[in-house]
Amino acid sequence: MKRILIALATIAFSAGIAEAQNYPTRPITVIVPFAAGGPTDVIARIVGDNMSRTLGQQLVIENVAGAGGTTGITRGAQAQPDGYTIMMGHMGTHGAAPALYPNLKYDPTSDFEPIGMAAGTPILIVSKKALPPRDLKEFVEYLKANGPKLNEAHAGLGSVSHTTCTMLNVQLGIKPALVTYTGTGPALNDLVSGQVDYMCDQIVNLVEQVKAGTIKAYAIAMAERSPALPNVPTTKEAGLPEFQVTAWNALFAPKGTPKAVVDKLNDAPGQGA
Amino acid sequence: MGDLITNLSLGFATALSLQNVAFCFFGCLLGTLVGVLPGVGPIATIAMLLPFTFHLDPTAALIMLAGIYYGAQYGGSTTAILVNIPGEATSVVTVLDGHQMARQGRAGVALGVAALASFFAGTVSTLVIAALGIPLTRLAMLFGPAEYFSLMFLGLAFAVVLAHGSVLKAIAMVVLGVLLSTVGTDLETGEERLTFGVADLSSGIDFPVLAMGLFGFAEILRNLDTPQSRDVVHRAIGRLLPSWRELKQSALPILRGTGLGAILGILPGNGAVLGPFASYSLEKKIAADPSRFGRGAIEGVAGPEAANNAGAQTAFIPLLTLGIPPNAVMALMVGAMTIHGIIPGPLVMTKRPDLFWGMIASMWIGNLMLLIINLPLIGIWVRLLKVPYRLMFPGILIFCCIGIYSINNSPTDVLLAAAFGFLGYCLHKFGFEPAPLLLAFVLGKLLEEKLRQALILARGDFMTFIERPVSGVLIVLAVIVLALAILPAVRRGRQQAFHD
Amino acid sequence: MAILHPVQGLFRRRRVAATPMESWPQFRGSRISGIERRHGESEAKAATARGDDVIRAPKDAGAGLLLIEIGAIAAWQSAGLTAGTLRQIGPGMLPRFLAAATVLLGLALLLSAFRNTGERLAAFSVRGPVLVLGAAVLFGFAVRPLGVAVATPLTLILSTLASPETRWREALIFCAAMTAFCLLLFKALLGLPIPIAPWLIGY
Repeated sequence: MKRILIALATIAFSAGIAEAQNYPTRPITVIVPFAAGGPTDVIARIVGDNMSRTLGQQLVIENVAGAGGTTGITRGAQAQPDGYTIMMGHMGTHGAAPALYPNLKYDPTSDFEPIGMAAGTPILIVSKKALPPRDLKEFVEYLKANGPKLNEAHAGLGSVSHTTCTMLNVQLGIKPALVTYTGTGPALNDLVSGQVDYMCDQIVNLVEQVKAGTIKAYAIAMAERSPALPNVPTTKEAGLPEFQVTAWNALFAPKGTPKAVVDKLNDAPGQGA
Repeated sequence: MGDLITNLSLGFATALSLQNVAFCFFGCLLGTLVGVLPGVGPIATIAMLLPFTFHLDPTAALIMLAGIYYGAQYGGSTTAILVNIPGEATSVVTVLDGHQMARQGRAGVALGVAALASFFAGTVSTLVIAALGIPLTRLAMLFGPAEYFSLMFLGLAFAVVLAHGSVLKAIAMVVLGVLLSTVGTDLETGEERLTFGVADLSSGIDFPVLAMGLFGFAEILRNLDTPQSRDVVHRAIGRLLPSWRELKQSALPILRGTGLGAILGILPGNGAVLGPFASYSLEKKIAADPSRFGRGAIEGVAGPEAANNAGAQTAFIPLLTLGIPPNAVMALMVGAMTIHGIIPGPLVMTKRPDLFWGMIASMWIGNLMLLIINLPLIGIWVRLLKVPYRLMFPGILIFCCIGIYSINNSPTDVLLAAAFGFLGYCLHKFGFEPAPLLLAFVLGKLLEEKLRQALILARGDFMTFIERPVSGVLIVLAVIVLALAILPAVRRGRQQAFHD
Repeated sequence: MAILHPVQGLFRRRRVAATPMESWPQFRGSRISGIERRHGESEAKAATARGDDVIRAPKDAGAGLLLIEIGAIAAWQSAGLTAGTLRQIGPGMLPRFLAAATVLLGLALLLSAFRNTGERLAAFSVRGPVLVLGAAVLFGFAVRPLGVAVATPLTLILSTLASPETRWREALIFCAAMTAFCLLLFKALLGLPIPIAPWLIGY
């Protein structure tokens, strides 16, 4: 009992000292608006680990998933702008969300202080193994010929796979049936087993399946080939130069966070790596 | 066969290094701890430990994280048996007979049989994964959205069987469970449903919130109502380990549970949840005296516990052979692998055989460790039941509160759990059983998601569920299970009407 | 005493093995339920109702009403959602279908309560639910502003009031020890991101 009390006193005391120093004096919460284990979460954890070493404070990841990431970002936007709550947004939560969620409770352009870009990931166009087309040109023709008969899988409203593939569909002027999944995992599962026809997603999620030949990759939607999949042509090479898109992840603080704090956070990831 | 031995010996050579055994032990111990604590699940724990694993060897990291996963599965059963709170969806069934056994002074026996059943199931399913993992993957590939929907439908039929009172009330609980699962943001349109405008409800109701409200809180209220009943728990403690007769009674249920759990565990999208329910329904159906179930039947603990652990183990198959995580914990394991530059996929097996077989071997070692950790703990747990109830219930309450808060760091969740506690109390007063509700809740989300996917794929044709062979078989099974549950009740009802 | 609680809970049913569920109708209209009726509703906890009452199964009637209520609320909440078509199911289809099913099942139970004789409704207590659930609600409201270091003892003290057996000295010591244990377990050992005492130490 006595020992417990001493331990408690020590915790309280050491915390009291820390309070006297400059920002950050206590752990910083990073809201990740997606479930633990997804690409955004892993990026946040890697960046967070680096930042905690430079800042000398733990960055605590809080996963607040739901509604294509807008639940977590809403909570982050409404948090105290003191630098102790920041969030990891991405092209869905800060780009596509206003169009997809009519009741969105934040404005991506005015409710945040951007801290910095965390990662950019190329997008890959893939299909089930049994789909007839052999290259991107054939694939595009196939899509145009069979549009409404095809099934496109995506990882949820506002997800990277949803927004990027919608761009592709709009550019090609096709309207496939959209099959909504709750994440890349289940969507990929049904693509591998041939239940759905094609999808677009970040290369990290797909690279091993492409290498193993369980799905087909047609093109990578950026200017240069990826070293991870050197045999997959770019959309530019393969004849669809207008489809260029990169998924990005960035750290944001709520509007009103002091500039000095934002700058300190902005400096942090680089030094730690 | 020769391959299998070579592979497994490579696996054991990797997993048995001092460092890896130490991490496995640490993982299992931590897993047991968080599993016992209501609300603090393996997902939060693994997520918190992820940054720590950056600095570890990938095999050691994965072995530790896997240890947390099965440790938590096991720890969840302990809470279920001792205080009637299912910490994990898979331990809902264990509550039914496990807690009744505890109330009869047979907590030690229940925990012991759970430990032994889990160990046996773990051993068998490790071998299954090693020998048949790759061919079994093909089974998972047979399951598209339509098959999944039918499987979930079968699960709902099990939920009706689970109850032992009025069938009408059981069906009502199942409907209510699915209804509760629809709360939150719509998957396809992003509209809020049944949220009463509460922002915290937009991401849906979390399983532990509902489980702790309906079981944990409601149980406290029920016990406070009837002071004489709860003292039984600490009147007689009884044996700490099952007797020979009890073991013999459990042997076949364990075997059947292992089989069911192992098969269902392979299915992507968390088929493992169904294992314990299927096992319980089966045991209840083939028992000579089904009325013992729900009143402390040891088969009702042994079978589902074996199924639970077998499923937890075989759930690794889709991850290991396909690189596709079937549930949130596995998704975190993928995250852990990605951090180390290993992107899980069909090639991991050939590119990193040490990692692949090391993990499989570590599963068995983990199960052994769980047995070693938990058998001595039984004595402590059982003694915990001797704490007078006037002190025990505030303790349970505060653990639940902190646990619930920590799931989403949301105070609203605690209020919500209190509301569900009141609902659970009312349901009890009106003669409803909460277990079918909870199972239906777990299955409900997938049920709707798969229904909508399947109908989009079939362009709105309902026949897809019957025309696709695997799906059709499952639907037929579900109808048979439902008929078996409903017919006796209808007959009884008629007789009663006749006598009146 | 045992006869008064033949079907109140799974466990009690087990203990009073002489009155398993299947055999309870034998009490119907018997002397026992007659006595209870004279002693008033509070005594007649879970015994069977008499065959000549208008509502023959009060417990089922209550159950039916509860379901109808829940179903109605769900129907009201899902009224604004589009149901969609089978080809493209909308967000409202399943909730509305389930709400309707809940109401129908509730009606079925309610009707059966007029036809088949069943159990009486057990009394609802006030002290336990109010204090225990109140303690949980208190925790919910206190944990963010006051932190676990304050919310925990508050919750514990309020909840101990729910039991008539509580002894003050014991309860206070228990609260202190439990608070310390929770802080050590959840914060020091598991490192959960929960506030300890924001008003005092900032987190």
